[in-house]
Amino acid sequence: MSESQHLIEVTDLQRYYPIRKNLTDFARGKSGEVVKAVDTISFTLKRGEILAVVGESGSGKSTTGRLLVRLDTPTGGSIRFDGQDVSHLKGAELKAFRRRAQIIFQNPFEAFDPRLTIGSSLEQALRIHDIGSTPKEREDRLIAALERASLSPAREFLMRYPHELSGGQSQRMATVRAMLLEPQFLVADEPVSMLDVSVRADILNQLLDLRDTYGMAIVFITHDLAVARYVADRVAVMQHGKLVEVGETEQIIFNPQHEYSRELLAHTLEV
Amino acid sequence: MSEQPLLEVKNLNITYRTERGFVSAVQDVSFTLPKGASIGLVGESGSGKSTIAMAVMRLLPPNARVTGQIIFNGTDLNAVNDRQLNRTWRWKQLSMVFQKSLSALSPVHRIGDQMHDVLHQHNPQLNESQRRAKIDEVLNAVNLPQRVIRSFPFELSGGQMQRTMIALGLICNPPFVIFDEATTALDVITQAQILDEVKRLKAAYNLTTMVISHDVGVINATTDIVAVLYGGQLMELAPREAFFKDPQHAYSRALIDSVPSLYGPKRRITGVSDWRTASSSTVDQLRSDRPAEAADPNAMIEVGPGHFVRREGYLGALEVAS
Repeated sequence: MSESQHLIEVTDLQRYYPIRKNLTDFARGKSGEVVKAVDTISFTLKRGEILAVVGESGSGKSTTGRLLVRLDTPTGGSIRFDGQDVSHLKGAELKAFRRRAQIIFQNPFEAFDPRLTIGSSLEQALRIHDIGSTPKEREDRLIAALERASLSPAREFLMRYPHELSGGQSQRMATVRAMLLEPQFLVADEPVSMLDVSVRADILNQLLDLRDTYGMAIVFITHDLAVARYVADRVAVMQHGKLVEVGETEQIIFNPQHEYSRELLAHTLEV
Repeated sequence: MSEQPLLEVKNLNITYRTERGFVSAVQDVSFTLPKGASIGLVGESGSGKSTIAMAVMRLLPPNARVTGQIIFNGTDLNAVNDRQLNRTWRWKQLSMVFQKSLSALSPVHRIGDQMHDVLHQHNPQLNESQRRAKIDEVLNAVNLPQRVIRSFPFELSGGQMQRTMIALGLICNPPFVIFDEATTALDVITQAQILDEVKRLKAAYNLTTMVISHDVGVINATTDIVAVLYGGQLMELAPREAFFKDPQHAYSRALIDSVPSLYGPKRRITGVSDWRTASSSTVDQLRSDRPAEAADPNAMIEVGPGHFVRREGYLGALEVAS
């Protein structure tokens, strides 16, 4: 039905942060130099496709992720989501977009409000988006969602506080929360880099299953190329805010064209 | 091999006394580290690897009870009194590079002042200019610019901070250094640089090292001997090459298989929680073949030169005693 087969089309996306050198400039709201965190990048993403964004710290990959789900607003360029330009959405339209695009973060221990039970945190997500008309209905939905993610006994998990979960459980719970709204698009920002190796596999497989079951599109941010190869159909390599190479995963791993991609590969430790 | 090993850990047991009774953190761990070698302790959080390092440094909290021996250069460190330990051993003979450099450094003191403090404490005989020379030397050794001396920790990048920690570890010229997850928080390129530097320093200062990591890749890149820990117990102890070529314990194999491969064939990776089921057939076979050894699941079986595997979970078949 849409004229394009792409779910997401990013064109010349920019996020510049002004550097204010002194108080006078700050007071005048004036700025000369800028930091180009994301510097004119373009790429596309199909439904059901997983794109890994790789690069070192400070390469702009997390900023790109935040722009894609509009936790940040671009200073230039556009993001088209399912044909609609979402780069400057506000208010109700932005809220509607949030139902379709979600994000999970690196640190699972900071993903939930420590003063609320997991159940209240998750219910809040449903309430904000008017899903389920009664508390009972919402609870049933939560229990079903937890059980799908093999977090059982679900009822008991809902009564726990965030500190009563392990790192792996927290990250699975964060993914469950993101999936409650049945989004078509998910950004996973280094979701396994703070977890033990033993539970990384579970999180990665959970994401692959979500893609297979719901045809969700995923942008997976990582600095680990072996992980990128495991999850992604395509890989985008970023350096200093620029996209230096995009291509099919196996192509990037076995036949990298850009010098920086080769450098990243050479520094990945292989057993 | 007649030379005395630098570090010998014998039947180390560590128990914590808590409000809810005793919790065992390390059980019957033994290994030997020759001079100039590097041992890697690998395992998940809670496997006891950092606890062992802290026991070697004698930095465990007061509610920890340690039995067994930690023999460093012929001296049992458990028998040394605190005063002696601080005077002659800690930092001068053994030092440690901690996991979280940001919390290990004081946020309100300049890097140079913190380095002066360490020297003042451990080498009080040095005068101001000697201390300064030493600081210059270690900063050079880890490729940090001189301006770091005037910097506060928050002004440094993650890689620079980790280099600062390594410089602090080397500042009293210890022959033995422990690296506890020293590169875990860094990105791949910085990690590779730091690991290269550690290797270079190891050769330059003739160091013996202990590397702690949950990342089998880091262990493969930096060590000669691999010790796999799970639940406070040693699962496998092996020379690095033999270990990565053919791990003999079900948990070791699960640990290696849980990491996706960059160039190898694509396969579905699995978590390591179910390693016990993988080895049950061997255990059953053992019960019938060699009842005596089957009776003790914790026995360490020697399967090759310097290669030991815990009986329960051993993947190879045991020869029937003739």
